[in-house]
Amino acid sequence: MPHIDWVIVADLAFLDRQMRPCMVGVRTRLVVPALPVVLRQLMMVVHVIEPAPGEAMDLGVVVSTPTGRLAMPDGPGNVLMEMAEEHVLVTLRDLPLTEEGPYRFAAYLGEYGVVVDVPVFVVPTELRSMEAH
Amino acid sequence: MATVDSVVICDLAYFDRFDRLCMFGVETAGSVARLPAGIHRLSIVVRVPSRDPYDDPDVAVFLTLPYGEWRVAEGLSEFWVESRGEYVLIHFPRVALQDEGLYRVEVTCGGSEVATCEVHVLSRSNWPARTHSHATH
Repeated sequence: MPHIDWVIVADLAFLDRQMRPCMVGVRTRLVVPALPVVLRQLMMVVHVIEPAPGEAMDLGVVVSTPTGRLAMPDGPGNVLMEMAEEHVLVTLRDLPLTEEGPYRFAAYLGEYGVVVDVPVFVVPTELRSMEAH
Repeated sequence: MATVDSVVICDLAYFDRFDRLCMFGVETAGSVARLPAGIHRLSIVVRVPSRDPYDDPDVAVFLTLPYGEWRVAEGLSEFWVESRGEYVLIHFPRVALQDEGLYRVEVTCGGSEVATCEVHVLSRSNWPARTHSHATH
C-alpha cells in the first residue's frame, strides 16, 4: 500500500535524468525581514513508498500557520504538482507568511500524512547584514 | 540517545553559504542505491532532529563489503564530515565499489542508533552512462 516516507521543503527541487530528486536550499527555517511577506516560490518534495504504477494517487498538501490557519497560495496555478514514479514535486508560488512561528507543511495520502514544521523568524535586514560581516 | 530520523545517499550534498542543505541525485529506491562497479563519489545525509547543533557530530562509519568483510572506515582519509543544524553530511570523495554485490554502510552520530545505507553494485549495470560535457569556445 503506498505511503509517504518523507517530505522535504526546499527553495528548488527537480528530477535529474535518472529520475532522482535534487534539492537546492533545504529549509529547516525561514528567515524573513518583516511580516507579512509573500514568498515567491517554495517547493515540497514528497517521497512515496510503493506507489501503484499507473494508478491515481489521492495526494494532497496543506500549509498552515502557527495558529492553525490555512496558508495556501491564492490564485490559479500557484500550486503545481508533478508526479514521477515515487516522487511528487509540489511548487508553491506566492506563499503568504503572516505570523512568526512554525509553519506546518503537510502531505497526505488518503488519511495518513507526514508533516514538516518550518519555523519562520523575523530578522531585520540590518541585523542580517551585520551577521554576514 | 539522539535519534536518526532519515538517512539518504546521494551523488553530492553540501551546505550553501546560508547553511542550507543542497542534495543532488538522491537515491530513494528503498535504501538501496544501484551503481556500476568502480570508484564513486558519494554523500550520505543524516537527519538527527534532536542533536545539539553546537556539538561535534562524532561520526563513526562501518563498512560491510559484499563478501562479508567488515571494517571501520577511517575519517579524513576515507570520509569527512560537516554538520549544520539537524543535518550531518558524510562525504566519501573516493569510495571503491569494485566488487559486485551489496555494500552496507552503517553510520552513528554522537552515540545515536545505527543508520544503514546499502549500495548494490552491478558489474554490468543498465544505469545510464554519466557524461561530462565541456563547452568549447
